[in-house]
This record gives sequence, C-alpha cells and structure tokens, in this order.
Amino acid sequence: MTAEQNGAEQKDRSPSRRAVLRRTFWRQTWWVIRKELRVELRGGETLWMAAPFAAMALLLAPLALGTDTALLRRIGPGMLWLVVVLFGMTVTVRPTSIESRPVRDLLTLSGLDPVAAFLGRSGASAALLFVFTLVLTPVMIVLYGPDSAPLWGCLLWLAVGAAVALGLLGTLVAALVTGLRSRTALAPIMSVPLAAPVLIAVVNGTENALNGQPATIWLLMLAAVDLILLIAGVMLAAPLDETTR
Amino acid sequence: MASHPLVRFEDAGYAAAGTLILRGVNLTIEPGDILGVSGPNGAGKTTLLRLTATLHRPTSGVCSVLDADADTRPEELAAVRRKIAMVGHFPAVWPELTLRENVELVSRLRGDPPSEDPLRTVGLEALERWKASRASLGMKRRVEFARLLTWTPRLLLLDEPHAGLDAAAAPLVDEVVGRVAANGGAAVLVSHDPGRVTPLITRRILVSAGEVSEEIR
Amino acid sequence: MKTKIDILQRLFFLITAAAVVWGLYLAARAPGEATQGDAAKLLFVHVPAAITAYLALGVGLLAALWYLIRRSPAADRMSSSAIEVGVIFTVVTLVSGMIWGRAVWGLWWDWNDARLMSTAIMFFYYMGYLALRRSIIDPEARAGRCAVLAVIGFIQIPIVHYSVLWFRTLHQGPTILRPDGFRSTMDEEFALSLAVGIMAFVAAMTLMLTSRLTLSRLQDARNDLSGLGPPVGRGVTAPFMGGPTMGGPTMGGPNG
Repeated sequence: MTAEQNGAEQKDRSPSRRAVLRRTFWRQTWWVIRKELRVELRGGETLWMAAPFAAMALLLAPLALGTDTALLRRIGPGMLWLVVVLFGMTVTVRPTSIESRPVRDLLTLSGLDPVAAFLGRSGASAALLFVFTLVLTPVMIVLYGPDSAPLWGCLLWLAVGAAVALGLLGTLVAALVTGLRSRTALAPIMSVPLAAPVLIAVVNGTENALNGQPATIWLLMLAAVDLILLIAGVMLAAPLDETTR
Repeated sequence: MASHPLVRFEDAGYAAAGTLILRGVNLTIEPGDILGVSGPNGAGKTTLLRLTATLHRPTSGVCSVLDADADTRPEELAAVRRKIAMVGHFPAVWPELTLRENVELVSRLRGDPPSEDPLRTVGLEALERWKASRASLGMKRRVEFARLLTWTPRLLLLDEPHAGLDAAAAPLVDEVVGRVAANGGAAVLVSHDPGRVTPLITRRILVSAGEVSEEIR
Repeated sequence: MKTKIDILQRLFFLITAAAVVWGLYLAARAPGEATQGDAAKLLFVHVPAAITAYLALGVGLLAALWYLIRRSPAADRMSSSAIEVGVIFTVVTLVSGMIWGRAVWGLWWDWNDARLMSTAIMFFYYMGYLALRRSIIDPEARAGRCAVLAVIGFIQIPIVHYSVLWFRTLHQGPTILRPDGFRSTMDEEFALSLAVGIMAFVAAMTLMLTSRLTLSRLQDARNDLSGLGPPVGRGVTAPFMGGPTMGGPTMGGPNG
C-alpha cells in the first residue's frame, strides 16, 4: 500500500468514526483499571502482603543502623521513599496482574488496544502505589519521628508524582517479562535502576518540604520523568504486545 | 463465481526458535465451512489454529485471514481480530473474577450491546458469583461458550472444544458452530475424538509432521 | 574475498595495538598534575573508557530503534553486541574511577560523587538487559523486547551525564563535554594524550564489536541450519508397548 493511499484513507475516515474509536479506547482503559483494582481488592496483595512487609523493613532498619533519635529523625523520609521504590516493585509486578497466555490471546482477539491496556494497568498500579505510600507514611512518622510541620500539599503532590512514575515503569517492565519463568527475579533488576531519578527527586523534594521550602524544581523533575515514561510506554506498547505471543 | 475465501494459506510455513513446525501449508476456508482437524501429538494442529487466529505470523509463504496479512496496518488488524473467536487448550479466565465478571469484562472490552443472559443459557446462573478459581474445567469451558453467545464471530476456532464438557453441555458446541456457519462464517475444530465432531463437520483435514493434507471422505 | 577481509581485520588490529601503545607512551610521559600527582594520569583511561562506553551504548540504542522500525535480525545483532561491549567499558569506567577516587580522595567509593553512582546504576540496568536476553528463547520475542528495553534504558544516559550538574557535588565537573560548548580547559600536550587515549579505546571497542558481531552471525546461522531440518512432529512416535518398562514378562527389572 502506498503512502498516498494511506493518506486518502485517513482523510476518508469520518470524524464520527474517529470519535467512536476514541470512546472505545477510553472505555477499554477504564475497564482494565476496574478489573485490576477489583482483582487487587479480592487478593489484597498490595494492602495485606506488600505493605506489611514494607512496614517490617521500616521497623528493622533502625536495628541495623542504630536507634539514635537524631539519626532516625534525619533518615526517616529517605527510608520511606527507599522502601516505596523497592517494595513498590512487588506491587507493580504483583502476580495477580499477570495474565496467562490464553487470557492474553483472548484480550488480543477482543480488540483490546495495547495502549489502552498499558494505560489501564499503569493507572491501576499508580493508584495502588499511592495507597501503599499513604499507608506507610504514618508508620514512618511513628517509628522515626521526623521534624513536623512540613508542607503537606507539596508532599502529597510528590507522592502522586512518584506513584505515577513507578506505576508506568513497573507496567512497562512487567510487559517485558511477560510469560518468562524468571520474571519475578528479572523485573526488579530492570526497573529499580530506572527508578533512581524518581528516588532522587522525591527524597530531595521531601527534604525541602520538611524544611518548609517549596519543592517546585523536584516536582518538575518528577513530572518530566512521568512524561518521558508515559511517552515511551505509549509508543512502545504496541511493538511490545507483538512479542508476547 | 466462487465466493471469496475467509482464510487463504499459500505455501505457508512456520518456524519458532529455529524449530520448524509447519511447512508448505496450502489451505482455503470458505464461508460456511466447518473444518475438522486431526493429527498426532506435536503435528502442528495448535500452531495452524494460531496462524488462522492471526496470533502467529507465518515465517514463510502467505496467510491471509479475513483479508488481513503481514502488510495489514495495526488498527485494521485489530478490527479483523475482533471478528475471530478462539477457544484454546486451556481455558481463558481470570481466576479472581467471578464467572459473571469473566463474561461481562470481555463483552465490555469488545463493546458489544447487552444481550440475553448468556450464563443462564449455559446453565451457570446459580454459580454466577463463584470465583473462576473455584470452577472446574467444564465450568470454565461453559463460561467460554457463554462469551460466544453474546456475539457471532466470522471465524470460530476451537481446540478440543469437548474437553471437560459433560454430555449435557456438549450441544453448546453444535449451537455455536451452527450459528457461525449459518451467518456466513466458518469454524475450525481441532479434535482427537473424530466421533464427537463428525456430525458437524463439512470437511476434514489431517495435520501430520508439520504438513497439512485434505482427507477425502 | 575472505582473505581480503582477514587482511583488513589484521591491519585494523595492528592500528589498534599501535594506538594503545602510543596512548600508553604519551600517558607515561605526561607530567604529573600539581595536586593529584601521577594519579591524575588515570584520566587517560577513565575518560576514554567513559566516552567509549557511551558510544557503544549509543550504537546499541540506534540499532535497537532500527530493529523496532525494520525488524531486521542484523539490527538485533548489532544492538546486543554493542550493548555487551558497552557494558565492558562501563566496568572499566567504574573500576578506574574507583581507583582514582582511592588515590585522590582516599575513598574507593565517594558518596558525594553522583557520576560514579549513576554509572553504577547504568551498569546494573544493562546487567538486567543481559539477563533478559538470556531468559528469552524465541529469537523474535527476544529481539523485540530487548530493543524496547534498550530504548527505555537510553533515557538513563542523559540523566547520568547531567546528574553532575543536578546534584552540584564535589565531583570534577565535565571537562570535555561542557553543556555550554566544547571549550577545552587543558593544555595542549594533555589534550593530545587524551585524544590518543580516546582513539585507542574507540579502536579497541570497534575491534571487539566486529568480533562479537561475527560471533552472533555465526550463532544465528547455526541455529538456522540445525532448526530447519524435519518438522518437530516427526520426533513424536507411537508409544512402544511391550518393552521392559511396559508390562510383559520382563516386568520387575533385569534382576527380577
């Protein structure tokens, strides 16, 4: 098929048909999010398994580092984010979100847009990671007693930015290890290095927020990371989908 | 004038990871055809089915399915795939979702209009709130057939459709296959048990050691 | 035909060897730096290794993009070979950086040095790439997924390079590639030694890359030859009943 024919076909497409396609796309995205969250609600892998495990890490770290109050006060926020980045990976590659080959075939033949599937899964993972962070924050405050009176609004945005970045990243990496036996060992080594900029931005941002200074520059950096991952994911979703059959 | 074939294989071959699975396949499937496929283990029956479902692309030769081939653009391929249904070896269900949700999710993703309760038709209405992880193989198979009752595919591909189904549920296969053929579509049934599919099929092919041959009845 | 390529390869090997020797000679002759002494000469290894690593990984990215557009097995071979070679030079960068840090600051691992940290992160990421390659058997799936991973991973490189500026740490800022232009701050002799060092490293990288490519090509060719024999279905035969493991009078083993 020549480029001209392609162009002619594109023009031929009426706006109403495009609107239908767009509606289909967002409807599929929405149903993928719904399905992921419903499965999580039933299995409870994030809230009842990953979160307590991560809380245990927050509890054990002072035993290894020393229980000096001044030290703990200083490292508390950093520990929280470290735990969110590392243990958050078990949230994004949670076993219940892994689909068997017959189910993947079914989804392909149902006309599920790979980009809609990517956005839906990332959205669900980001929501779960945000809740995960919300659950761990009071645990950190109780155990480490960081200096209070921070800019809460700023912290909230940092948590959202980090959850979105980790959700996108984890979903991309989960797609890369689809169907592989060694996926649980492989996924973290591939995703955690890429999460380093997220960790840097969110930790420095938190430090600013706790000192009562705005963290605009770090929020912008997080937003940039989110945007890059979003573009990468949207562009790579279809070619990646082709390799999972 | 002969009708336009739904599926056309021309000297198609398929190899994966350096291993040859199918070669020199020449096959056309016309509207109304109900094809019975048999052959020994490892002969390439499932691969033939996956090629027909556009889930694999041939590594040599041509395989055109509902006018989609290797040159088809992704969005058109997606539209073609929506007209194909496959029931594979292993049931395609989400274990954490209920039987009803398993049927509903697929129809929502497809965007099908709501229809009469398919779970009632397949006899699972009373168990609709069961999680699929608790269901037996036969129940999962019934769920898959319930999905096929909400729309009529152009191309229906069944791999051992009777496996796990009890005698009472076996007519579901006939019902779905019959409906597809009556609407100008075609069905392909892979089975080790020729006795069960014989009354349905119009043509029979044999896959043996990677080669496909037509059986004359 | 083949001998011509052989001669070319040998010639290139000699050029590489000469460049390495020349680079070493210049580095040995260069005067020690005022504050760092002879340790500063590690610059002639560290900087060329880092540049070569980026170059190889850059080739890996371009080949991965080429693969995603064209689906050509040659592009996959180029991408994976370049990344493998790039990982080796990343290790050289890391190790020379650590030795330098030990000599100058008295620490193997300088935590204030953001670039060392990000290079280590990059190293681990590409270890993940190599692990993914090993885990996928189907060549097409492997090529596609690894290409995607290489493209994602390359986002990391600018972050690594500019991390120095972001963190504003004690590390010596980028001397060669300044973001405000290519203004060299070194004297000429120093620059010459460094240039020869870079040349030698790039030549060595090219040599390794071509050898690795030849190896991949041979591996692929072997797979093609061995795979496309008889179809796999020929290997499945009817069960053999009546043998020693299947009933019959010999049941119970040879001593029975």
